[in-house]
Amino acid sequence: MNPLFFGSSDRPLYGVYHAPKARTGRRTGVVLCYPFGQEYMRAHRAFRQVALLLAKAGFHVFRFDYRGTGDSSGDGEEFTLASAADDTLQAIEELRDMADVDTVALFGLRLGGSIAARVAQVADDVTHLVLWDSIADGSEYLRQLRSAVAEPVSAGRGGMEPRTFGVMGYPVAAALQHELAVLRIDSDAPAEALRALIVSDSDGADARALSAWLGTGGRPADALMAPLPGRWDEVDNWGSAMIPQDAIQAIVGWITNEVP
Amino acid sequence: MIERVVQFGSVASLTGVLTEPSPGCTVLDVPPVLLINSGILHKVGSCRLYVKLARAFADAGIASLRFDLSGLGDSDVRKDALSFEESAVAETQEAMDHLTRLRGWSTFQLGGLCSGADVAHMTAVVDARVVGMASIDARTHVTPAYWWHNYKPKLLKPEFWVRWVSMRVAGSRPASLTGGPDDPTFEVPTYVRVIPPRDELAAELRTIASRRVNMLYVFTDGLDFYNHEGQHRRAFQDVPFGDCLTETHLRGADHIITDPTLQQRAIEMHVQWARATKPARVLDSGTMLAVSAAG
Repeated sequence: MNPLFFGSSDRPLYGVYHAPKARTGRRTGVVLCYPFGQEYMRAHRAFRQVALLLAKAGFHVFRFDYRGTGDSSGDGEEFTLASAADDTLQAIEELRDMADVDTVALFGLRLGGSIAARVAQVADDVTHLVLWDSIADGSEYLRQLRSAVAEPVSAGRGGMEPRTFGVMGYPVAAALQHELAVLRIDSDAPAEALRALIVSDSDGADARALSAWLGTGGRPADALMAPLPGRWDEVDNWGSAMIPQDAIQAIVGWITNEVP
Repeated sequence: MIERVVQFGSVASLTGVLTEPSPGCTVLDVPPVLLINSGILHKVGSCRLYVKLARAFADAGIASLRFDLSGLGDSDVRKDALSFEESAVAETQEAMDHLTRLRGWSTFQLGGLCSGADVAHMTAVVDARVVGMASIDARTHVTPAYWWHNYKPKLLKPEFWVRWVSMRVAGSRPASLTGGPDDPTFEVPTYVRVIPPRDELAAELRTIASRRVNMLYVFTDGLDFYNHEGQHRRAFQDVPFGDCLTETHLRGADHIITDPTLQQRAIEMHVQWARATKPARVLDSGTMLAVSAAG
């Protein structure tokens, strides 16, 4: 593991580069996109495991914290989908600087999947996309955030901006709310050459929408049903982690077989 | 504020983020604060608490290191057979050693939530370099007043007496009051929190207090063995804390302090605590850099 700050010196991002542990000559690096809020904490250990397994399979892997999250600079209210997409592009650039790779696979969980999908539409070097329980309908996700706790922390508390609301200790800024309200993953067709895997807990609306969207690009996505032992968005006042081993193994297996 | 990645550790490569005041800003002559993982949560802390603490410390002129113990977050796994209690203390000491090499600091303050508080306590017992200790939801003991506070509101409710009678009749005990994830599908820390016997804990606290370690204890409503301010001091009234102990009950807070207002209060308390550990003598950043170079 090689932890580092990258990006601009006045607003650095934190990331961890995992060098390949096997000489396989793979030319595609993997960038991991975390979910948002408490789901980020719950998934962090699973991401570490995905990164370690992919490095063992010979991949250059980079996981990083978006601005306003984790160890990266910025306050929580600065996190937006647009800034997270910019940060992902920076992370791709950082990985390409560090490692000798030609192309990149993006792996995203929950809202991280939405961010990865958005980036895949604009970054020519992204050839593979893995979306795990990803969000296709932002307005529904926003509704779930609001209802995740009986009483979302009201605006203006703890130094938060008036229109921000907090869910389980994480602020959802007005700008993010606006982005989520209009987020539809099917708005633009994906690149034709994009190879994708959709991993989902159930045959839900998000997975169907993502599958349909990826199909419009001309290459139907692979699908993997991976029931979870719990929920990513579980309301939890204790801070627990979820590591769905079966799903992790299956995802790493697909990437290892499909990504050069 | 400047943040940089540091890596250290003789057995496993441990990762941390050192946060320091920006050059030219006021630097206080107080020991740096080390923030220790709570449970399985990585160095960011629950609801980003450790990141916010580190940055608030830096704004107040105080350096800090938040780091991951082995096997957590961005630190490697140890290959030896030490227990968590042994390795966590050893690694916290390695963090202090590293900061001494890096910056010349010789004394330290430790902070942590839950198991992080336990590690801070265990390290403070054995290492005299620890001159400050801030704990959120640390191990403590109940007192007679605890039971009074616990039952007083219930005794006034008829439902309590109905339940009490029915339990007596059925010969059953109520379900555990302990919170936390009972769901076996969630991975929880391998560290099983055992509260040492009162006298054992008191002896350890006596050791810490005898060195005049500046102690801050913050308790939330997330523990089932604490329910009123002053309980910790009363539970250990044979420990001569004197003015070294500040105890606060953060009413309304859950264990990981998700409420931003209460989290902000907790941060302010920590900054106040850290500033008070030694009489604050204001140095300019040039003096600080000279100290750094010497280290």
